Amino acid sequence: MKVEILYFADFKDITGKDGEFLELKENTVEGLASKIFSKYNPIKNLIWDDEIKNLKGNISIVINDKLITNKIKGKMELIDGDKVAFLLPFAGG
Amino acid sequence: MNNNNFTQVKSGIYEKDEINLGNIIFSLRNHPKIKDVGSILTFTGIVRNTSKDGKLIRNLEIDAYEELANRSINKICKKIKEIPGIIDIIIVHFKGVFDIKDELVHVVVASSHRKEGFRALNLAVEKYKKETAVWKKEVFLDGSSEWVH
Repeated sequence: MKVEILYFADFKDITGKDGEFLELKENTVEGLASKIFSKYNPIKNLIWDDEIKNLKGNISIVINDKLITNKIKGKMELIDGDKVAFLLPFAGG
Repeated sequence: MNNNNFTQVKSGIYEKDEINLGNIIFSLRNHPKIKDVGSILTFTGIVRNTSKDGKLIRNLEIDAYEELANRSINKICKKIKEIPGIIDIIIVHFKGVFDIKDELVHVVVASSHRKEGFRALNLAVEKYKKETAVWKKEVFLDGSSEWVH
């Protein structure tokens, strides 16, 4: 299945892109994260906590422009065509 | 005041310099309830030449998740407008690349009296800082840069 991932701020600098479509074998947020890590290793340090084997606590995830507040974000399932973004804490001007 | 061809400024994310504080105040002065307004208070965030830890800044970059940020800004405005005495509020946040002194954000509150206006303005500023999907990158004089979180 294919999902669209959007990149903002640090993510945009690391990838050099606003976003892209990625083909996933595993239909979870974790599956998407590991696909991204294999392409852009520095993103792992940014969002992944190896101790808890999940996204860091300060990382938000947005699926189809909806902010997800579920604590076990990594296990959430994705479906074909979903638009996903990982977000670091906000800092307005 | 001539209201022909008048378009109300909408709160949200805009490109740098797309509109200015004058446009926002003009918009509020054309509000249908302008006769109930006794004060228009403004907050403008601009680019300072140092980071929080004192490093010298060359310029600043603002990135935004527009769909999400616009939704949060509108939610904040709706909440502020529920406060008694607040007639209207417009929040405009710019994105792009900014030099020192450039304007980054305007928060403008029209209220019946100044006291509730100042309180609402303060609340709106604190809320947009925490709740809006906007990020800033400080580019330092030595060429290094850092996203602020």
